[in-house]
Amino acid sequence: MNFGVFPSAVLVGQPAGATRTIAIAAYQEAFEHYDMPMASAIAVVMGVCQLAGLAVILFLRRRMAGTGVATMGAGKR
Amino acid sequence: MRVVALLVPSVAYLLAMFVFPFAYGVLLSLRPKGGGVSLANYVAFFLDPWQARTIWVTASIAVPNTLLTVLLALIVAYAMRRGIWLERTITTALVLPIALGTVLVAEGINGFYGPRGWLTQVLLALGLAEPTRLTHNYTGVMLALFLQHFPFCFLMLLGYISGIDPALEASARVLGAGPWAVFRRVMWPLIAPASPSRGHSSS
Repeated sequence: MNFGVFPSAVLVGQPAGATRTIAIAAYQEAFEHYDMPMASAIAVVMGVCQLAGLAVILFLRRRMAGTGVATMGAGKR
Repeated sequence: MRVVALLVPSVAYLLAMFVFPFAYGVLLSLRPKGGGVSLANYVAFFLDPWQARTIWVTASIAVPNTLLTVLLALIVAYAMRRGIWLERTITTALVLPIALGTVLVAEGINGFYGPRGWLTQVLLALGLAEPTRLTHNYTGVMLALFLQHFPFCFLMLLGYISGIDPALEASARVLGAGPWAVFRRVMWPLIAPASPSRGHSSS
Protein backbone atom coordinates (compact mmCIF):
# COMPACT_ATOMS: atom_id res chain seq x y z
CA MET A 1 0.00 0.00 0.00
CA ASN A 2 1.41 3.32 -1.06
CA PHE A 3 -0.54 5.41 1.42
CA GLY A 4 2.39 7.68 2.23
CA VAL A 5 2.91 8.66 -1.39
CA PHE A 6 4.27 12.21 -1.60
CA PRO A 7 7.21 12.89 -4.00
CA SER A 8 5.62 11.10 -6.95
CA ALA A 9 2.28 12.80 -6.37
CA VAL A 10 3.96 16.21 -6.48
CA LEU A 11 6.47 15.64 -9.31
CA VAL A 12 4.52 13.63 -11.85
CA GLY A 13 1.06 14.11 -10.42
CA GLN A 14 -1.40 16.94 -10.17
CA PRO A 15 -0.95 18.06 -6.57
CA ALA A 16 -3.72 20.64 -6.83
CA GLY A 17 -6.45 18.16 -7.66
CA ALA A 18 -6.47 14.59 -8.92
CA THR A 19 -3.48 13.43 -6.91
CA ARG A 20 -3.72 15.63 -3.83
CA THR A 21 -2.90 12.83 -1.43
CA ILE A 22 -3.20 12.93 2.33
CA ALA A 23 0.57 13.39 2.66
CA ILE A 24 0.30 16.61 0.61
CA ALA A 25 -2.51 17.83 2.86
CA ALA A 26 -0.32 17.23 5.91
CA TYR A 27 2.64 18.96 4.26
CA GLN A 28 0.56 22.03 3.41
CA GLU A 29 -0.75 22.34 6.95
CA ALA A 30 2.73 21.96 8.43
CA PHE A 31 4.91 24.02 6.11
CA GLU A 32 2.53 26.39 4.34
CA HIS A 33 0.01 27.20 7.09
CA TYR A 34 2.48 26.51 9.94
CA ASP A 35 -0.25 24.64 11.81
CA MET A 36 1.67 21.75 13.34
CA PRO A 37 -1.20 20.45 15.49
CA MET A 38 -3.43 20.16 12.40
CA ALA A 39 -0.63 18.46 10.46
CA SER A 40 -0.15 15.99 13.32
CA ALA A 41 -3.86 15.26 13.30
CA ILE A 42 -3.71 14.51 9.55
CA ALA A 43 -0.69 12.28 10.11
CA VAL A 44 -2.59 10.36 12.79
CA VAL A 45 -5.53 9.93 10.38
CA MET A 46 -3.03 8.66 7.78
CA GLY A 47 -1.60 6.16 10.27
CA VAL A 48 -5.06 4.90 11.18
CA CYS A 49 -5.84 4.39 7.47
CA GLN A 50 -2.63 2.41 7.03
CA LEU A 51 -3.42 0.24 10.03
CA ALA A 52 -6.88 -0.39 8.59
CA GLY A 53 -5.27 -1.50 5.33
CA LEU A 54 -2.93 -3.77 7.26
CA ALA A 55 -5.88 -5.30 9.12
CA VAL A 56 -7.66 -6.07 5.83
CA ILE A 57 -4.50 -7.69 4.45
CA LEU A 58 -3.90 -9.81 7.54
CA PHE A 59 -7.53 -10.94 7.40
CA LEU A 60 -7.21 -11.90 3.70
CA ARG A 61 -3.95 -13.67 4.39
CA ARG A 62 -5.43 -15.74 7.18
CA ARG A 63 -8.36 -16.72 4.96
CA MET A 64 -6.07 -17.66 2.06
CA ALA A 65 -3.78 -19.69 4.31
CA GLY A 66 -6.82 -21.54 5.58
CA THR A 67 -7.96 -22.64 2.12
CA GLY A 68 -4.60 -24.00 1.01
CA VAL A 69 -4.46 -27.78 0.62
CA ALA A 70 -0.70 -28.11 1.07
CA THR A 71 0.59 -24.80 2.44
CA MET A 72 3.85 -26.27 3.76
CA GLY A 73 3.31 -24.12 6.84
CA ALA A 74 3.56 -21.04 4.64
CA GLY A 75 0.51 -19.49 6.24
CA LYS A 76 2.12 -19.50 9.65
CA ARG A 77 5.04 -17.32 8.65
CA MET B 1 20.22 -8.34 35.26
CA ARG B 2 22.71 -8.75 32.42
CA VAL B 3 19.87 -9.49 30.00
CA VAL B 4 18.14 -6.28 31.02
CA ALA B 5 21.37 -4.36 30.52
CA LEU B 6 21.65 -5.74 26.98
CA LEU B 7 18.15 -4.50 26.24
CA VAL B 8 18.95 -0.93 27.25
CA PRO B 9 20.41 0.33 23.92
CA SER B 10 17.56 -0.94 21.78
CA VAL B 11 14.89 0.21 24.23
CA ALA B 12 16.54 3.64 24.47
CA TYR B 13 16.70 3.84 20.67
CA LEU B 14 13.03 2.87 20.33
CA LEU B 15 11.98 5.36 23.00
CA ALA B 16 13.95 8.21 21.45
CA MET B 17 13.30 7.49 17.77
CA PHE B 18 9.78 6.07 17.78
CA VAL B 19 7.81 6.27 21.02
CA PHE B 20 8.66 9.88 21.87
CA PRO B 21 8.04 11.42 18.40
CA PHE B 22 4.89 9.36 17.97
CA ALA B 23 3.45 10.29 21.36
CA TYR B 24 4.48 13.92 20.87
CA GLY B 25 2.69 14.01 17.49
CA VAL B 26 -0.49 12.46 18.86
CA LEU B 27 -0.56 14.84 21.84
CA LEU B 28 0.20 17.81 19.58
CA SER B 29 -2.72 16.90 17.32
CA LEU B 30 -5.05 17.10 20.35
CA ARG B 31 -3.96 20.66 21.16
CA PRO B 32 -5.33 22.86 18.37
CA LYS B 33 -3.93 26.29 17.57
CA GLY B 34 -6.74 28.04 19.44
CA GLY B 35 -5.64 26.48 22.73
CA GLY B 36 -7.13 23.89 25.02
CA VAL B 37 -7.30 20.12 24.54
CA SER B 38 -9.90 18.93 22.05
CA LEU B 39 -10.56 16.92 18.92
CA ALA B 40 -11.10 20.16 16.97
CA ASN B 41 -8.39 19.32 14.43
CA TYR B 42 -9.94 15.97 13.58
CA VAL B 43 -13.41 17.49 13.34
CA ALA B 44 -12.07 20.22 11.05
CA PHE B 45 -10.32 17.66 8.85
CA PHE B 46 -13.36 15.46 8.37
CA LEU B 47 -15.82 18.36 7.96
CA ASP B 48 -13.75 20.06 5.24
CA PRO B 49 -14.45 18.11 2.01
CA TRP B 50 -11.24 19.45 0.44
CA GLN B 51 -9.26 17.80 3.25
CA ALA B 52 -11.37 14.71 3.87
CA ARG B 53 -11.37 13.68 0.21
CA THR B 54 -7.57 13.26 0.34
CA ILE B 55 -8.21 9.94 2.11
CA TRP B 56 -10.24 8.76 -0.86
CA VAL B 57 -7.75 10.24 -3.35
CA THR B 58 -4.86 8.45 -1.64
CA ALA B 59 -6.73 5.14 -1.44
CA SER B 60 -7.75 5.40 -5.10
CA ILE B 61 -4.06 5.63 -5.98
CA ALA B 62 -2.66 3.19 -3.41
CA VAL B 63 -5.07 0.27 -3.68
CA PRO B 64 -5.24 -0.16 -7.50
CA ASN B 65 -1.50 0.47 -7.73
CA THR B 66 -0.73 -2.22 -5.15
CA LEU B 67 -3.00 -4.74 -6.87
CA LEU B 68 -1.48 -3.95 -10.28
CA THR B 69 2.08 -4.20 -8.98
CA VAL B 70 1.50 -7.51 -7.22
CA LEU B 71 -0.33 -8.95 -10.24
CA LEU B 72 2.37 -8.01 -12.76
CA ALA B 73 5.20 -9.03 -10.42
CA LEU B 74 3.44 -12.35 -9.89
CA ILE B 75 3.14 -12.97 -13.64
CA VAL B 76 6.79 -12.13 -14.31
CA ALA B 77 8.10 -14.03 -11.27
CA TYR B 78 5.96 -17.06 -12.11
CA ALA B 79 7.28 -17.10 -15.68
CA MET B 80 10.85 -16.97 -14.35
CA ARG B 81 10.44 -19.64 -11.67
CA ARG B 82 12.56 -22.29 -13.44
CA GLY B 83 15.20 -19.88 -14.70
CA ILE B 84 15.16 -18.40 -18.18
CA TRP B 85 17.64 -17.32 -20.82
CA LEU B 86 19.64 -14.22 -19.78
CA GLU B 87 18.05 -14.43 -16.34
CA ARG B 88 20.70 -12.35 -14.57
CA THR B 89 20.52 -9.56 -17.15
CA ILE B 90 16.74 -9.45 -17.05
CA THR B 91 16.60 -9.53 -13.24
CA THR B 92 19.16 -6.72 -13.05
CA ALA B 93 17.16 -4.60 -15.48
CA LEU B 94 13.93 -5.22 -13.54
CA VAL B 95 15.53 -4.46 -10.19
CA LEU B 96 17.51 -1.39 -11.29
CA PRO B 97 14.84 1.17 -10.21
CA ILE B 98 15.63 0.30 -6.57
CA ALA B 99 18.98 2.03 -7.04
CA LEU B 100 17.33 5.20 -8.31
CA GLY B 101 15.67 7.62 -5.93
CA THR B 102 12.02 8.58 -6.07
CA VAL B 103 12.83 12.01 -7.45
CA LEU B 104 15.10 10.61 -10.16
CA VAL B 105 12.42 8.14 -11.26
CA ALA B 106 9.87 10.96 -11.37
CA GLU B 107 12.21 13.12 -13.48
CA GLY B 108 12.81 10.19 -15.81
CA ILE B 109 9.09 9.72 -16.23
CA ASN B 110 8.69 13.41 -17.03
CA GLY B 111 11.46 13.15 -19.60
CA PHE B 112 10.11 10.03 -21.26
CA TYR B 113 6.33 10.15 -20.90
CA GLY B 114 5.99 13.92 -20.47
CA PRO B 115 4.24 16.27 -22.92
CA ARG B 116 7.57 16.93 -24.70
CA GLY B 117 9.05 13.56 -23.79
CA TRP B 118 10.66 10.95 -26.00
CA LEU B 119 7.59 8.75 -26.27
CA THR B 120 5.29 11.53 -27.42
CA GLN B 121 7.87 12.86 -29.87
CA VAL B 122 8.51 9.43 -31.42
CA LEU B 123 4.79 8.71 -31.70
CA LEU B 124 4.19 12.13 -33.26
CA ALA B 125 7.09 11.74 -35.70
CA LEU B 126 5.70 8.38 -36.82
CA GLY B 127 2.22 9.85 -37.03
CA LEU B 128 0.91 7.06 -34.81
CA ALA B 129 -0.90 8.90 -32.08
CA GLU B 130 -2.20 12.19 -30.88
CA PRO B 131 -0.29 13.55 -27.90
CA THR B 132 -2.00 12.29 -24.74
CA ARG B 133 -1.21 13.47 -21.26
CA LEU B 134 0.52 10.74 -19.31
CA THR B 135 2.18 12.85 -16.61
CA HIS B 136 0.93 15.46 -14.15
CA ASN B 137 -2.17 13.41 -13.56
CA TYR B 138 -3.31 10.10 -12.09
CA THR B 139 -1.51 8.03 -14.77
CA GLY B 140 1.84 9.66 -14.01
CA VAL B 141 1.65 8.82 -10.31
CA MET B 142 0.60 5.26 -11.10
CA LEU B 143 3.58 4.87 -13.44
CA ALA B 144 6.04 6.29 -10.92
CA LEU B 145 4.78 4.17 -8.03
CA PHE B 146 4.73 1.08 -10.20
CA LEU B 147 8.36 1.61 -11.26
CA GLN B 148 9.45 2.04 -7.64
CA HIS B 149 7.58 -0.83 -6.08
CA PHE B 150 7.69 -3.46 -8.81
CA PRO B 151 11.31 -4.50 -8.05
CA PHE B 152 10.62 -5.18 -4.36
CA CYS B 153 7.47 -7.09 -5.14
CA PHE B 154 9.14 -9.03 -7.95
CA LEU B 155 12.22 -10.01 -5.93
CA MET B 156 10.22 -11.25 -2.95
CA LEU B 157 7.76 -13.21 -5.08
CA LEU B 158 10.57 -14.69 -7.19
CA GLY B 159 12.34 -15.85 -4.05
CA TYR B 160 9.14 -17.33 -2.72
CA ILE B 161 8.05 -19.01 -5.94
CA SER B 162 11.45 -20.49 -6.79
CA GLY B 163 11.49 -21.94 -3.28
CA ILE B 164 8.49 -24.16 -4.06
CA ASP B 165 9.48 -27.76 -4.67
CA PRO B 166 9.56 -28.35 -8.49
CA ALA B 167 8.45 -31.95 -7.84
CA LEU B 168 4.97 -30.67 -6.93
CA GLU B 169 4.57 -29.08 -10.35
CA ALA B 170 6.06 -32.13 -12.10
CA SER B 171 3.67 -34.48 -10.28
CA ALA B 172 0.71 -32.35 -11.28
CA ARG B 173 1.82 -32.42 -14.93
CA VAL B 174 2.26 -36.20 -14.81
CA LEU B 175 -1.27 -36.51 -13.46
CA GLY B 176 -2.55 -34.62 -16.50
CA ALA B 177 -2.92 -31.04 -15.28
CA GLY B 178 -2.49 -28.30 -17.90
CA PRO B 179 -0.41 -25.14 -17.22
CA TRP B 180 -3.45 -23.23 -15.95
CA ALA B 181 -4.60 -26.08 -13.71
CA VAL B 182 -1.06 -26.36 -12.30
CA PHE B 183 -1.10 -22.66 -11.45
CA ARG B 184 -4.65 -22.57 -10.13
CA ARG B 185 -4.74 -25.83 -8.17
CA VAL B 186 -1.11 -26.39 -7.12
CA MET B 187 0.99 -23.23 -7.26
CA TRP B 188 -1.57 -20.55 -6.32
CA PRO B 189 -2.54 -22.14 -2.99
CA LEU B 190 1.16 -22.11 -2.13
CA ILE B 191 1.76 -18.53 -3.32
CA ALA B 192 -1.50 -17.00 -2.06
CA PRO B 193 -0.58 -16.61 1.61
CA ALA B 194 2.55 -14.72 0.56
CA SER B 195 1.10 -12.38 -2.04
CA PRO B 196 -0.98 -10.08 0.18
CA SER B 197 1.96 -9.43 2.47
CA ARG B 198 4.15 -8.77 -0.58
CA GLY B 199 1.66 -6.12 -1.52
CA HIS B 200 1.80 -4.49 1.84
CA SER B 201 5.51 -4.56 2.36
CA SER B 202 5.93 -2.12 -0.52
CA SER B 203 4.37 0.67 1.50
